Amino acid sequence: MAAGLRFCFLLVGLMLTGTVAMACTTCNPPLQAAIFRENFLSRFLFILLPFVVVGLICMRLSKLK
Amino acid sequence: MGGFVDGIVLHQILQWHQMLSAKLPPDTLLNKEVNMFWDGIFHAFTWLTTAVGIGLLWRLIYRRDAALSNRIFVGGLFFGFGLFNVVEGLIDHHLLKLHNVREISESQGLWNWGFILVSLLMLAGSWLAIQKGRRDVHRQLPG
Repeated sequence: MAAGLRFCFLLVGLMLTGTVAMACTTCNPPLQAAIFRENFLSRFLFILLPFVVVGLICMRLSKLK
Repeated sequence: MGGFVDGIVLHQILQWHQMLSAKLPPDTLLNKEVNMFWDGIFHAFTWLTTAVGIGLLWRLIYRRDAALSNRIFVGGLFFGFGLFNVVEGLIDHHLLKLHNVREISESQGLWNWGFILVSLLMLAGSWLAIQKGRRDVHRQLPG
């Protein structure tokens, strides 16, 4: 069998069986476990925090004449 | 705008950092994917903020006393850009230490403070532009 063909079979086999390589949040249980941990809410609030602060500053600035 | 430049240029194109790269280094595929998820959350908030901004701008146009000027508009865009970068830089880089501007660097602190400095300059320049725009508008008003 040609080396190229063997390589193609290997590649297809890996693609069909390799669950780790699935970059899909809704179909990758290890990824879901790594995201939705006990610190999910704190991380979510940390990322939201700069937006809240900017919003409050903008509200204050809009009151200035 | 500041959030999109950060997210698109620094997170995705240059890949200097990701949302949690100081806490969760993206050195495995799983860590990279988790960082990508939180990058997406950051982009979603940026998108919502932009939508709210467009809504407020649209409402402002209908006010009779609105100072419609190119200088104020561009100044306002860059003011928001600088303000977001200063706040995000102080909170995410210095206070919470979620990521550094340039994760793979011998002088991460220098990059972080440089980011704040450039943002403060942008903030000051755009504030001056807005004030000049306001003066121009008031000068053009009849009476």
